[in-house]
Amino acid sequence: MFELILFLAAGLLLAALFLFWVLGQWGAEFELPPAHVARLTELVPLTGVSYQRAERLFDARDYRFLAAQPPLAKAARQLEQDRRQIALQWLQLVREDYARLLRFRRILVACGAPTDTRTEWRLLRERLAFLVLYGVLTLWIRLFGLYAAPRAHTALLNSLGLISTLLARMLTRLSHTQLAEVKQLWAPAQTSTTNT
Amino acid sequence: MVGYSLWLATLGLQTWLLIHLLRVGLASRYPFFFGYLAVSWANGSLLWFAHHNWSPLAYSWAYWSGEFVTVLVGFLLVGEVFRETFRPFPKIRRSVSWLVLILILLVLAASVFLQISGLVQHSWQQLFGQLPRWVRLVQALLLATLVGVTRYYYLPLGRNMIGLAAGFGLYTSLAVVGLVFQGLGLVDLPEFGQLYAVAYVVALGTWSYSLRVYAPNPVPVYRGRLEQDFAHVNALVSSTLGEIRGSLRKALGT
Repeated sequence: MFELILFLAAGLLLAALFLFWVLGQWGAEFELPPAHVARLTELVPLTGVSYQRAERLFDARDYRFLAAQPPLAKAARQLEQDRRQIALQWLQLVREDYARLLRFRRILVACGAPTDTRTEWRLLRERLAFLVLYGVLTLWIRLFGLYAAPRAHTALLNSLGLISTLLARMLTRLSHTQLAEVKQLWAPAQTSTTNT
Repeated sequence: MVGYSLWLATLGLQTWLLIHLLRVGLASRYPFFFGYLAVSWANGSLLWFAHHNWSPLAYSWAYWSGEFVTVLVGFLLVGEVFRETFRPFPKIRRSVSWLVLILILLVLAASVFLQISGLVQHSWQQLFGQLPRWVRLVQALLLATLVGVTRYYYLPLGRNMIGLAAGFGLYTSLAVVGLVFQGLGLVDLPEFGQLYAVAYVVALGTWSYSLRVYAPNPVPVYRGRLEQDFAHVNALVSSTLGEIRGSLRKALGT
């Protein structure tokens, strides 16, 4: 009986995964000129995403080089621990970028930015993906160290990049009046966030 | 009535898809998938004949035997998806093909073992009902792993491969659920057949839509990461195997 319940759970979970995946392909083929995305990031500065050295932070080569030499093993451990702290702080910044983008979306919607089912579905999917990836990656780094998931952070950045692209697309659909209204509402919201 | 309609829909869609694949030249591009579909179609036609001409017991025997064969042939489709996904990486493709083949052989060996040992305790119907559950779960897990790998390494998939993987993945996962319901006695054989047919019609619909024209996988942009990780794993496996070989030699005193 217990075995059957496990099978049932696995079957349902896998079916949901495939459904989620195939629906995720719906409307996946869209590209935006970089200038449009840049216009969004001008309005919504993404401090975590713009950190240039994230790749270096997760690069295990220095650590491996030190760890391979027994007299430097302690230094290798110290390096990993220091970098782990920085990586967790950086992840926190990326999480704040995500929250900032969602706040901006709320203002876009309030100003009547036109959207469609396809965009909303993609946004929901990427939000879920981001939150799951963020939770798993943070826990993983805390439990198993920085180099246990060497490139998972790129998936997180990719997810946030997709959210940015979707919002940038919404931004391109705004009229001049709507855009002015968005800027007017967003400026104080951003200042209050910075102050807090 | 519903059962008949579903049966006819399945056979009709299968026939159309087989002809379509031949007509647009996709049968030669995806031969394993075509083979799977042909076996599945032959099984469906045989069951149609058996249903009308054979006794219920003989039909039940034919049903579970056919189910067992089509479940195993499903590995062809899984193999096709793996083959096409790793086409731009010949070395990785070869290794992954071996891995999948070993896994299939292991599943087959386990099936034969279970069949021989299980025949003492179970009837053949019970046994044929249990084995597909395991095999289908393995197939769904293989495809789910592939989806994870393509997401992690940003391997782009064309419409054909997305359709094949998603259609079969959905079908096998739902088949596992159906087989559990049948195992729990929540549905009888005809109702189970209907559940199964609905899942299969969904898969056939997905395949029909995604295989309208040839749409190959786009060339991957980020090649380095996958190749680098593969080289790393390869080196790790080689050194582990070397160590095991050394330990064995020491133990044998040669």
